Amino acid sequence: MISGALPALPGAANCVRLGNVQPGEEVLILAEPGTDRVVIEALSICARLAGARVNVLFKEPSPVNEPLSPVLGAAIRAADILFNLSYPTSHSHAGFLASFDHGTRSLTVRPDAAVLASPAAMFPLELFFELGKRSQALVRGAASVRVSDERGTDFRVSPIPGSVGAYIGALPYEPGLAVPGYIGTFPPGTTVWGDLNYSANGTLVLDAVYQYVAPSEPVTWTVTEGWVTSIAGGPEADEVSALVAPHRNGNRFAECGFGLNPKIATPHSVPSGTAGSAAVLSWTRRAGTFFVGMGGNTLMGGRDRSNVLPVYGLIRRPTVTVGDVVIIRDGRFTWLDDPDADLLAHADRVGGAHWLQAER
Amino acid sequence: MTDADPSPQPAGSISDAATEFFGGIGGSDAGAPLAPYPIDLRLVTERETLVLRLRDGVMVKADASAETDPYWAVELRATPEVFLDIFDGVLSLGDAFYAGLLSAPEEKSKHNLVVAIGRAVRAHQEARLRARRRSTPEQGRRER
Repeated sequence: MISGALPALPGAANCVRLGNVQPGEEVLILAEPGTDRVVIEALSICARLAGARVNVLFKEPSPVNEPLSPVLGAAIRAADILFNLSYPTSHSHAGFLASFDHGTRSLTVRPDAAVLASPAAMFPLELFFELGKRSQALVRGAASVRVSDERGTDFRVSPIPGSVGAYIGALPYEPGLAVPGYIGTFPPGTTVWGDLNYSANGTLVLDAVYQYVAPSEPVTWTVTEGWVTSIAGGPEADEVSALVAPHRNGNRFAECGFGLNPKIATPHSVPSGTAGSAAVLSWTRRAGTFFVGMGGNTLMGGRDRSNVLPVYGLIRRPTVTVGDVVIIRDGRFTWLDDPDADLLAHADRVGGAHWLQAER
Repeated sequence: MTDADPSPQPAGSISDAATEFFGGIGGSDAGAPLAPYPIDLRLVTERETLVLRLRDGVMVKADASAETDPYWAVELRATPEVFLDIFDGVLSLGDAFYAGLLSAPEEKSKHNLVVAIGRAVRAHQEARLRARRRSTPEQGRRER
């Protein structure tokens, strides 16, 4: 069994390190029938090597807006850390209790052995934290962020400084290894912020949305003062509209941000269903993309609760200007294409400048 | 509200309940999650702002006009009723955040501090519930 997991072990070890797994801790790996056993095995091996006790729980797939079962909720609350190979639980009531009241650390892990064996999963955490710290500080200090692209995206938002995160570690404002209540994804990661002041306005032409990495035509969201007021495009746009329309605050513009990991590959296959959602969510972590989320914003510090878990969308080749700094130009993360001496020194300390180069 | 101010609190104020609740955290294991952080907790309702200074897991001062260190300050906003429900153990911070009854404008930048407060609040709520059960077994059984 171990030999099958071997290629995934370095990535799994990086994941367990991000989770800050400690001796004596209770680890919960949450899977669904059909989840790649190699991923479960690789995470289990690395967590056991860290001295933790591993528990694996299989749940049936369920609609994303359905509450978690009480059994699952209790298991998440009781765990020190959750490695979630299913749809993210952090937006559910049980997920809130686990994080805010019980301090369960949670990482939603891409349930794909090939991803765990890829450079994306081995991306040095210290480099990710440095990129996150810099970019979060930049966004916090900017009056506004503008996003545009050649397909017609023209969007602006003015973040409240405190709404900018994530992956906050032991110190405020700074990404770091997981501490109690941590919420993140693996491979990491993003800089993200909520629209707590209803400042989001404009047009977003999305290259991927919800479960679709390649919709039959672009899906266009019109955003007016913090609400998605129109969703246009092909059948995928109709599906997203139908998903959010019945629910209060379902069309709230909840969050947005950009990926920081240059080693996340652009998806080549076209998965659907849960695998499609996981692929879209993972793609939002790629450096050079810009992503948006629609639905309840209480996890972002807001008060617009919704039964709609965030529906994510992504712009593949945006230009993102933070204040007067162009941080992404035509889908290229400028800090990585033209790194300063400090960032190069960081890269040297973790293996070299090749970690700054984007994967195709 | 200050340590030296004996004046009665205005109607709708949460100051006495907040001081009593957070003042008890240091006397139990509930203070442990807070201990690593020198948090200045600001509780904001439409009528008042309270500052609760927490050091090493213990509330050392409660002063409405206290200067707060922006780096370690955590602001929670809600109605007085929601705060009182939290102090009474009816709602946890997780419950209140999920329902949109409570907000923290800097939550995303200070998730570590907000969670430390949430864990301490839950642990203290449970300790108080256990104490009530011990002192009034009949009421304790009904609450179960």
